[in-house]
Amino acid sequence: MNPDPAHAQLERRSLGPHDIGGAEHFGRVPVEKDQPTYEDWQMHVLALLFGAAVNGLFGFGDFRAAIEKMHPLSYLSASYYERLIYSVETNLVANGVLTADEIEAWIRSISEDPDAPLPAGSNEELAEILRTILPQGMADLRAAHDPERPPLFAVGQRVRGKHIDGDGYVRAHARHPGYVQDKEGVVERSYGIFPTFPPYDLPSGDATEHVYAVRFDAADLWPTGESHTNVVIDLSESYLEPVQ
Amino acid sequence: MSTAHEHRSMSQAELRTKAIEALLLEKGYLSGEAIDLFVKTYEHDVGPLNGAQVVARAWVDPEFKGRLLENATEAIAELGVGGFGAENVVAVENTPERHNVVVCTLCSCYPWALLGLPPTWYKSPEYRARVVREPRAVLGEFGVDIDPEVEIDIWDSSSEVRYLVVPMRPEGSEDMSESELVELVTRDSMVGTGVARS
Repeated sequence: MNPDPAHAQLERRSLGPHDIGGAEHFGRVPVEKDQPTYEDWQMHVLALLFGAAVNGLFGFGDFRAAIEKMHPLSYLSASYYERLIYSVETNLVANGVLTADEIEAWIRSISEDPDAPLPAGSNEELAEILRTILPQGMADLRAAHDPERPPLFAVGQRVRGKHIDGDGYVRAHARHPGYVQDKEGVVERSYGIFPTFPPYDLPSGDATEHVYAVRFDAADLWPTGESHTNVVIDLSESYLEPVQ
Repeated sequence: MSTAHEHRSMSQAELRTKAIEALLLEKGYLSGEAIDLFVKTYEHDVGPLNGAQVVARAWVDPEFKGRLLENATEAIAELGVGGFGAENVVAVENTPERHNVVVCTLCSCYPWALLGLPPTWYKSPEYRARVVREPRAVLGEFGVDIDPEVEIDIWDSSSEVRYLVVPMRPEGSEDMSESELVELVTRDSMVGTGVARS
C-alpha cells in the first residue's frame, strides 16, 4: 500500500528534535561564502570529543543520543558546539568519569583566573594515536564485506522505509528519519556492512548491518515535491522492508 | 576584578569546555600535545584544498575520474587524501543533466578529510530542514540557479559514507594547468551549493 502522501505528511514522524529533514517554517539559510572561522574553544570541543572517544569514555551512539534527547527548544537554540560539549559533559558524568561537583569547582577556578595554565596531561599515547587516526581514518568505520552475510536487498529493488512504532528508536540514536518512513524508493547502491545503533529495547547483537543508498522521488516524499528532484539517503537494512 | 576578566569574557559553553578539558588532563585521559596536534591539523593541514586537488585531477585525467566515480575512497588515496571523516567516500558528478547536493539532515556529517570542518550554514537547521524539500529555493539563496529541467539529486549522508560532489569544469578552462584548475574549485562547489569559479 502506498500511503497518500498528503495524509502521510500530516502524520510526519520524527525521531526527535534533530530529525528536521523536510520540516517547514525554517527561514533563509545563513549563507557565508568565506571559510568558517572558529573560536579557539570550539576547536577544543572537537579535540575533547576525539580524546574521549579514543579513550573509550563513551560510545558514538550514546554521544549522539544525548544530543537527540535534548528538549527541542534547547536543541534548536543551542549552537552546534554547545550541543557537542553538552553531550560530552552529560556522557562523562553519566559514566562516572567526572562529577558535576568537579566541573563546577574548575569553572569557579577558571572564572577567577582565566589565564592560569591547565594541568599537564599525562596521556603519552594519545598524540601518537591521533597521528595514525587523523591521516588514516578509523578502521571500524570502514565498510566490511562478508560473503557469508549477503545483503537482503538488491540494487534496483523497490523498498519502503519502515514505520517505526515504540519509543526505543526515539530514546536511542537511530538514523531513520521520519521523512522516509512509509515512503517507497529504490535501492541505488549497496555499501556493505557497517556498525549500527539499534534501539535500546532490542538486543544489539553484533551491531552491524548492511547499509544502502535508497533513491526517493521528491513527489513521493512531499505533497509539494518538485519535479526532477530526488533524495538519495543512506539507510540500514533493518529500516527497510521489501515492496511486494 | 582582574584586567584578564575585562578583556576575556567567556561564554558558559567555553567555560564548561575548559573545565572539562582541565579534568580530563588531570585524570590522565588527555595531553596538551594531543590537543595541540588536533587543533593544528584542522587549522592548517586539512581543508577544502584537499578536495579541490581531487576534483582538478578528475578534470584533467579521465581515467582517474573513472576510478574516482567507481571507488572514491581508493582513488583519493592515490593523491594522499583521506583519513578521519573520509573512511568511505562516494563521488557524484555534476553534468548538464544532473546537479548533486549534499546534506546531513540528522546531524552534520561532512567529509572532513576532503573539505575540512563544515561551515556554519551546513550545520544550520534551515539548511538541514529545507534543502531536501525545496532544493531550488535553497540553492537560489546561494546564488545558484538550476534549470527546472535539470535533475537534482540531494544526498542525505545519514551513514558513515561521505559524499564529494565533482562540479562541472568551467567553460574556457581548457588551457589551464592542473594547479590553476585547483584554484577554481570552491568548497561550496564540492557540496553542491556552488559551482566552480570561471
